[in-house]
Amino acid sequence: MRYRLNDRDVVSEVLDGEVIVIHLQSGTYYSTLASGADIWNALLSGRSVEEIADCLARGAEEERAHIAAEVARFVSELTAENLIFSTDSDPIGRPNDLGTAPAFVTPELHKYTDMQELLLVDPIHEVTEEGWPLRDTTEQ
Amino acid sequence: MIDPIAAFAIAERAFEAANVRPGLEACYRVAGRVLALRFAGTALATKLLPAFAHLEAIEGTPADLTICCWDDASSGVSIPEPIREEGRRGVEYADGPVRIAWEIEERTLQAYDFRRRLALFRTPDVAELATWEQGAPFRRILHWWSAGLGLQFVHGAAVGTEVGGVLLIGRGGSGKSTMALACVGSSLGYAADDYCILELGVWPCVHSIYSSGKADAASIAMLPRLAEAFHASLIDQQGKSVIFIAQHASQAILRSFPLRAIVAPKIVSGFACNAEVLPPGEALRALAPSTLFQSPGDRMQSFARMSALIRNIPCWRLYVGGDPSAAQPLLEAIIAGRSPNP
Repeated sequence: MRYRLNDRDVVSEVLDGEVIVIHLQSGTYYSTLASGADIWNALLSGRSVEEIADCLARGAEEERAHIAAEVARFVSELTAENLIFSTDSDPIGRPNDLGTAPAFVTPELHKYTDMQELLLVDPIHEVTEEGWPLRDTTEQ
Repeated sequence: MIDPIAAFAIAERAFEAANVRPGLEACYRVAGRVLALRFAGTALATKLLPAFAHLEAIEGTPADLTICCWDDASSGVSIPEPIREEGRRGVEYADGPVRIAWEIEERTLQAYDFRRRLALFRTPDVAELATWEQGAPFRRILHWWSAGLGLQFVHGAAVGTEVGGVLLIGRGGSGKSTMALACVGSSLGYAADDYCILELGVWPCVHSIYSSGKADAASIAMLPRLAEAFHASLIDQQGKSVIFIAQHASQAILRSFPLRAIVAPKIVSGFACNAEVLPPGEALRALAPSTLFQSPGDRMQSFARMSALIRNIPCWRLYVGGDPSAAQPLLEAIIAGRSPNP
């Protein structure tokens, strides 16, 4: 299974090895480091869950089954948070080789909800190019 | 239904109808560009111009952005409004070459035509204008306009000197406003307490937009130099007092400065201050969400710009106790590129 970014609602950047992800509609933002960042970057470069698990297992002492389960759990979490979507399409061009597998540590997705109140107080409702239905001003 | 282009055209005609009597026009330099504000009548100008009074006034130069402003009550000119669903709040936002934001509860319109660099601001009644709008007028328009120029409107305070300064970042209540206001009357100048414009590039710059400053009662108690100013101030919907620094300490105003560092204040108990290096990921988390969640439009590009800035500039966490003025020597050291800790 391959995945793609929910690029309509989500923006992400990698800074000094830390992936910062912001869900613009929910007001939630996230960070992940180490193997979480490795998995995120590999997913967005078009690698499948299986390919990522294979690569990470090459450089780790843990059993492949354990690593594959952790990768799958992490990807499920990303999907549940609507940060990524599964896709049937193959990546455009052959993805770059993942290179030497970094040491595997259990991936963690840190979730921050402290800004949600800002959106709850002042939510942004995006309208289509059709615009808005108008109010009958004679009602006032 | 009304689409954004039609809504803009109707609103523009409404402004022309409201502006039949000679109104008021004021031009200022913002981020090196000329901002022209045209008001139908004077009532709305009286409320919105104090926030810009610290900026350089300009005459006889073509505007880079013109904002036409009016209110229905004093002009007698109205525009059709969207249907308001029961319980709906926030802003209705339409993207595109013409952008429109309807503030649902305030019934305020902000609209911007990119091609003509022409914006419209309409509010139903100047007497009911929100205090936060007086403290930081036209936020959405200024965000759209500045983004179109490659500039970045950010949620952050800014203090410094003409040779350099810092951007203070963090969510509301993190202490950035208090720390910025504590610099008024010190060796550090004041550029912003809540919003400013960043000019990115090899030598990033901070540009002041508003001279307003906000503080709650607990913060005012930590700002003895501004006690008198806050004594008779406006009160916003959150109970914070709003003043205009240009009216009370114009010598403290700094319109622009080179950005030397980003600082995330954190209020702690006690009176000591100290600083530590802030990892770039933490700095981005302190700056980007609060900016993006307040600013519809250009959010992907804005996030990329803020990330690029943080990659290339020192970032610090500053722990501040009960006396925010004690942080000034640390800020001066950070600005000078020295270690802020003894």
